[in-house]
Amino acid sequence: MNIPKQTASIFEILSRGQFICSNSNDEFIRKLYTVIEEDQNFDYLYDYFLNISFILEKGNEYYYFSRLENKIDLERKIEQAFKWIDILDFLKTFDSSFCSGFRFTPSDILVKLNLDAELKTKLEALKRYSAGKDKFNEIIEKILNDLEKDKFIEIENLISHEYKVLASFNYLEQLIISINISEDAKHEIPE
Amino acid sequence: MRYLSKIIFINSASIKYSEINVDGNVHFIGTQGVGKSTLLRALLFFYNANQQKLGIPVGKKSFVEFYLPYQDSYIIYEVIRETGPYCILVFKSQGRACYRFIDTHYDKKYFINNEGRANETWDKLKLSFGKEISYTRKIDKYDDYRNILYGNSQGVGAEFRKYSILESKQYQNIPRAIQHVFLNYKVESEFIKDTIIKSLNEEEINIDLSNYSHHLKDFDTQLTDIKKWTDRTKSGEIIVRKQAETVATIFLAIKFLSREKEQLARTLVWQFNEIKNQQPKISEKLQSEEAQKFQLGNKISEIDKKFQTKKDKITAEISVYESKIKEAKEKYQLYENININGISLTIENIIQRVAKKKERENERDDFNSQKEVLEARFIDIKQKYEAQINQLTNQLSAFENAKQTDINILNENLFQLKEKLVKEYDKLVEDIKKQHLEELQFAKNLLEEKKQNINNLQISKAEIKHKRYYEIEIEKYTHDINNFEEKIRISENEITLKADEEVTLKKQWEIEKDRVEEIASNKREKFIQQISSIDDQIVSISDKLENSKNSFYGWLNKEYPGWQKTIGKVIDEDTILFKSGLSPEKVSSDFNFYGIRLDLSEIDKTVKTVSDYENDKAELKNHTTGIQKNIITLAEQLSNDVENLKRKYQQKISKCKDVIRNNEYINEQHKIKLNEAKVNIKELINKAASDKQSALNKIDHEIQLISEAKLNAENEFNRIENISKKQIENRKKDKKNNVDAAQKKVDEVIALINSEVQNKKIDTHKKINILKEEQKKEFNDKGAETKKILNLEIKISEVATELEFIGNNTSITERYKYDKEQLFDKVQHFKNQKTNFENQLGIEQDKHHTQRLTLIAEIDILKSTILVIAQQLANIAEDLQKHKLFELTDCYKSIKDLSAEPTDEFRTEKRCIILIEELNNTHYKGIDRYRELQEAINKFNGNFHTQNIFKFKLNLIEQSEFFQFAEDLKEFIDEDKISLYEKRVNELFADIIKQVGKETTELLSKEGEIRTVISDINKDFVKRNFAGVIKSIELRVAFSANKVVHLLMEIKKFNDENINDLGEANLFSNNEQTRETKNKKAVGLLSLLVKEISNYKHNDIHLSDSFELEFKIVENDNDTNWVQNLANVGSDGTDVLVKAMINIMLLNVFKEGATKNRFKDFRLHCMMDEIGKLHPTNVRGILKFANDRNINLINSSPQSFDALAYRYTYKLAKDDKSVTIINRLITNNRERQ
Repeated sequence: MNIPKQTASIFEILSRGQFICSNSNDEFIRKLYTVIEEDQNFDYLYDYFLNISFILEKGNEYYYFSRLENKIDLERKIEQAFKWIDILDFLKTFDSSFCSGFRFTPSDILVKLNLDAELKTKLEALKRYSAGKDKFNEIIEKILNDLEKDKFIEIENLISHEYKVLASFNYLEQLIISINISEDAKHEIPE
Repeated sequence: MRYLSKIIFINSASIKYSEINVDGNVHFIGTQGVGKSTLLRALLFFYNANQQKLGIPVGKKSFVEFYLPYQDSYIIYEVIRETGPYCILVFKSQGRACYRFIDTHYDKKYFINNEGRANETWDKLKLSFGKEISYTRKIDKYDDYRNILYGNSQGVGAEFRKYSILESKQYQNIPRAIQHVFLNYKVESEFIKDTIIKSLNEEEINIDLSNYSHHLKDFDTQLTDIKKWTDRTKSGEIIVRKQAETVATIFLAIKFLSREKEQLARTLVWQFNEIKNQQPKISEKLQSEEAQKFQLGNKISEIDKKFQTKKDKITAEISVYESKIKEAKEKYQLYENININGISLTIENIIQRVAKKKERENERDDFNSQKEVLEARFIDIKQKYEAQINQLTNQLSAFENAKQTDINILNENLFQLKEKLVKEYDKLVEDIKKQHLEELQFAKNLLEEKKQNINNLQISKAEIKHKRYYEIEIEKYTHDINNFEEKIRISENEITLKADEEVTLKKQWEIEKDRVEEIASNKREKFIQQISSIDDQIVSISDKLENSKNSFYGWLNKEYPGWQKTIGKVIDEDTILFKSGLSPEKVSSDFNFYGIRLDLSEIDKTVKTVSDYENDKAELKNHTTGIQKNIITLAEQLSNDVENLKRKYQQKISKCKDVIRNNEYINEQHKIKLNEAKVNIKELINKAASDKQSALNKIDHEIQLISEAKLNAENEFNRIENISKKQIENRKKDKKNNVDAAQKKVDEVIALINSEVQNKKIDTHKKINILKEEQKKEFNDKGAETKKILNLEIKISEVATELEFIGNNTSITERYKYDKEQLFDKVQHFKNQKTNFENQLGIEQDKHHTQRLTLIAEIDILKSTILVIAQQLANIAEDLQKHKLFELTDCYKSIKDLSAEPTDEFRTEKRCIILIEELNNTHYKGIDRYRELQEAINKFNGNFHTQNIFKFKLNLIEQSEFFQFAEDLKEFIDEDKISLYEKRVNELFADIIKQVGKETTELLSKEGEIRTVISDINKDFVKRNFAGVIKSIELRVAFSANKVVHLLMEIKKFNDENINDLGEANLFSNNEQTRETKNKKAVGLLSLLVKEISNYKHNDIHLSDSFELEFKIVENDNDTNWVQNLANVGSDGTDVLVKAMINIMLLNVFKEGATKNRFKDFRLHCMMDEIGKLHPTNVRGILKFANDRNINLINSSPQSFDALAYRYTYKLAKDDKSVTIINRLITNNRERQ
C-alpha cells in the first residue's frame, strides 16, 4: 500500500478532532489537503485509518475523522451539538452569508451587536457556553476561540484580528441540515 | 615614496615634547607603564583615526582626554612625499580631536614659541607659519581625514589631494589590517576575503537583495493566486474558475431577476392603474345590467298574470261545455232506457204510443156508447151487480192499498237503513282514508322526491361524464408549455448561433494572428537578410582596409600622392586596387599609362579613401543598428498587434459569451418552468380524471343510496295503500252483509204481504167472477146479449190501460222533446265549442311559454353577464385589497419602478394579485439569489489573501459592493485578465531572472582574479616562510556556503541555459511545453530565493559572499585543517607571529592591488606590542617579511635584544612627575646604505 509520507501529520491533526481544509492559511495544511486529494491517496488512507477504527471522511473541501460512538457518549455529544447549533445560529444572524471563505473581525460582530437586538439576545443566550464570562467581547472571544480551536475558523491577520471561515464550517451547516424535524414535532418546540 | 616619517608629541600623553622618527623599523623599550603602547596607539591613530579601535581598555581615559588634555596639546605627524614633507596636526577642538594638514616639513619653531611654550591657539600657530606655508581648514570628521590620507578623491576637495599617502577608494582594510596586527585580532576569512576583493577593484560589486525582495515580496502569493486559476483537481476542474463561474451565473440570474422584477413592477403599475380606472365603470355597468334584469323579471310576472286570466276564462268556457255534454249524455242514457212497470221501453216507443192518445180516446168513447146501448135495458141488473163488484173491487183496493202501504213502509225503512249504512260506512271509509291519507301522502312525496333526486343525479352524472375538468387550467398550461418550448427553442438557436459565432471569431482571430505573425516573421527574415548582406559588405570593407597597407592602394598612398586623380580614375578597385602582391614600382614620372595618354578629367570617378571606407563601414554599421532596431520595433509591433487583435476579438467573444450565458440562464429558467408546467398539467390531467371518477363514483353511490331509499319508499307507500284498501274492503263487505240481511228480511215480509194481496185478489176476482156469472145469468135469463157486452168491456179496459199509459208518459215525452231540442241536438255544437276553446288554450299556453322562454333566456344572459361583471368587481376589490397590503411589504418599498408612471407598453391581462405574487416570488428569489451570491463570493474570496495580486476586494459589506465585485469578476473572466496577470508576472520574473543572471555573472567574474591572488599568496608564503615552526600557511577558495549565493548561481545557470525560454511567449522560444516546464523551474527557483532572502540577515550580497576562503596552518604537528576563522595558533608567540604574517601579507596584497594606478610607492607601518614574546630570529624574520613588502614595523618590548634589527631604538622612561621622557638610544644607519 502506498501510504503518503505525510500520513503521520495527517493523523496527528485529524485525531485531535480537527479538520484539514483546502482554504486554510497554513500552507502545510493546504499541502496535506492536496496530498489526501491526490489520485489514490484518499482510498489508501481510508483503508489505513479504518484499521485503527478511524473513518476518514470527506466533506466539501475538507477532511475529518469520524468514529463509531458509544451510546453513553451520546448525551454529551448532543449537548455539544446544541452548543454548535446555538453558535451557528448566532453567526448566521450576524451575517446570513457567513460561510466558508467569509472574513470578519470580532469588532465587526460588536458593531453589529449595537444595531441588532436579535443578535444581542442570541449572544446573551451563548453566555452559558462562555464559562462565566459576562462581557460581550469576552463571550465573542470565547466563541471564536472555540471555533478556532476546532479549526472552523482561522485567524488570518493578527494585526487587524481578522478571521477567515474555513471550509470545515460546512460541517456545522451539514449538522443542522441533517436534523430532520417532522411536521408534527414542529409544533412541540416551545416558541 | 610616501610614508610617515616622524611623530611629534607636544603636551600629549604625559609627554612634554618629543620627536620620534619612524622612517624605519623602530623599537621602543622601557619598563612597564612608561608609555610604549601609548606611542604605538598614537601611531595607529594616524592610520585608523578611530578612537574606539585603538585598544584603549575600558575604564581608562579616552583618547582625547589622554592624548590631548590641554588646549596646547598636539600630536604632529610628519609625512614624507616626493614633493617634500607635510605635517598633520592633531589638536583638540570643542572636545574632540581635529586635524589640519600643513604643507611644510616639521619645524619645532612653528609650534613652540620663544619662551619654550607651545602655541595654544590656531591664530598663534598661523602667525608662526607665516604666509608661505599653506594649510588646510580644520577637519573635524575622521572620515574626511581618512579620505584625504588614503586618497579617496570622491569625498574630499581637490585642495586635499596633495596630502594623500596613497590613492584608493577601498582603503578601509589598510587601517583595519594595521589595527589587527597591533591588537592581535583573530584572523577571519571574511576580512581576508574583503581585503583581497577590495584590492582587486575599487568599485564594490554587490547584489542588492532588497531590490529583489521588494519585487519578489508577494511573488509567492501572487504565484499561488495565479496558480489557483490553472490548478486542476483530480476530477479535472479548476475550482476557482468554477467558483468564479458560479458567481457570474448567479449574478446573471440576479440581473435577470431584477429585469424581470422591473418588468413585473411596470406591468403591475399599469394594471393597478387600469383597475382603479375600470372599477367605477364596471360598477355602473353592473347596476344597469341588474336594472335590466329586474325589468325583465317584472315583464315575466306581468305576462304570467295576463295568461292566467285568459286561461281561467277559457277553462271556464270549456267546463261549461263539458258539463252540458255530460248532461246530454246522461239524459240520453236515461231516455234510452225507461223502465215502466218493469217493462223497459225506449223513448221512441213511448212517443209513438203517446201520439195515438186521441185515437185511443175516440176508441174508448165508441166502445162506451156501444156498451151503453146494449146495457140500457138491463140497467138494474147491471147496477145491482156493478154495485156488488164495485164493492168487492173497492174492498180489494183498500186491502191492496193497506198492504202497499205496509210494503212501502217496509221499503221506506229498508231504504232508510240502507241510507244509514251507506252513510255510516262512507264515514268509516272516509276515516280510514283520512287516517292513511297523510301517511300515504308522505310516502308518496318521499317517493316522488327520491325519484326526482335520482333523476337529478342521473342528469348530474351525465353532466359529469361530459364535463372536462380543469379545462381552463390545462389549456393555460398547454399554452404555457408551447410558449416555453418556443422560447427554449429560440434561446437554443441563439446559443448555437452565438457559439458558432464564437468559434468563427476564434478562428478569425487565429487566422489574423497567424497572418500578422507571418508578416512579422517575413519582415524579420528580410531584415536579417539585409543585416547579413550588410555584414558581408562590412567584412569586405574590413578586408580591404586590413589589406590596404600591403595592397597596391597602400603603396599608392605612400609612394604616389595624387594618384586618385590619375591612375585612380581608371583602376579597378576590387581586383587591382586592393590586391596585394602586385609589386608596384614607379618607373618614370611621365604621366602616361602604358604608353597611352588619357584626358582623365573627363572621367568622373573618385576613388574612395581609407576614411571613406571607414565612413562607409560606420554607415553600414549604423544601418545594421537601424535594422536591428527595426527588428525590435517589429517584435513590439507584433506583440501590440497581437494584443490589439486579442482585445478586438476578446470583446466580441465576450459579448457572445454574455449572450450565451444569458440565454443559457433563460433557457434553464424556462426549462424549469416548462417542467413545472408539464408536471402541473400531468397532475391536472390525473386530477381531472380522478376527480371525475370520484365525482362519478360519488354520484353512483348517491344514486344507489337514493334508489334504495326510493325502493323503501315505494314499499312503504304500497304497504300503506294496501292496508287502507283492505280496511275499506272489509268495511264494504260489512256494509253489504248488513244491507243484504235487511233486504232479505224486508223481501220476505213483502213476499208475505204480496202473497196475502194475491190471495185476496184471487179471492176477490173469484167473487167478482161469480157475481159476473150471476149477472150474466141474469142477463142471459133476462135475455141480454152478455157476450157482446163482455167483449166491449174487455176492449174498453184495454183502451183505458192504454190511455192511462199515455197519460202517465205524456210529460216524459214533453220533457224529451225539450231536452232533445236543448241538448241532444246541440251536442255536436258543444263538442266543437269545447275543442275550440281547448285549442285556444293550447295556443295561449304556447304563446305564453315562448314569451316566457325568451324573457328567461334574456335574463339568463343578463345573469351570466352580471355574474361576470360581479366577478370582475370582486376581483378588482381583491386586487385593490392585495395591493394595499402589498404596499406595506418590504418588497414594495424596495422596488422603485412601482412609483413610475403607467405606460401602455406594459399592458397585460394578468391580474394584480397574480402580478403581486409573481413580484413577491421574484423578490424573494432575488433575495435568495443574493444570499447565494454572497456565499459564492465568500467562497471564491476564501481562496485569496487580502493582499492578492488581482486586487480583489475581500471585505464586502454593501449589496452594491457584492454586485460590483461580481460584475468585475465577470469582466475579469470574460476578458481573460488572468492571462494579463500571468503575462505580467511571467515578464516580471523573467526580468528578475535575467537581472539575477546578469548581476551574478558580474559577481562571479572576479573569481579568476581572486584565485590568482590567493595562489600568489600561497606561493609567497612558501617562498618567504622564515619561521621554522610554521610548516605551512595555505589559503584556498571554497564554494560559498551562502544559500542565497547558491540560489543566485543556480538562477544564473538556469538563465544562461534558457535565455530565450523565459517569461512571455516570444518568437524565439521553443514549443509551449518546454517553456511551461522552464517557467515552472524558474518559478521554483525564485520562490526559493524569496524564502532565502527573507531568512538572510543582510540586504545585499557582496563579492565576498560569493566564495568562501579557508586557510590551513600547520605549526609543528598542529594542523588547523581548513578553517575560516583562526582564533589561536599554537602558543602566544606563534599566534602573534602567524597573525602578523597574514595581516602583513594582506596589507601587501592590498598595496599591490588597490593602488595599481599611480601610487605604488608608499610605505606603511605595522605596530606590534610585546615583541619580547618572539625569538629574535623570528623578530628578524618578521621584520624582513614586512620590510620586503615596504612595511615598517614598530615594536615594543621591555628590553632591547637585537638593536641592529631596527633603525631606531627608543628608550622610554618616567621622571618623578610621571612625565614620559623618550630618548633615542641607537640609530642604525646601516640599513640605509
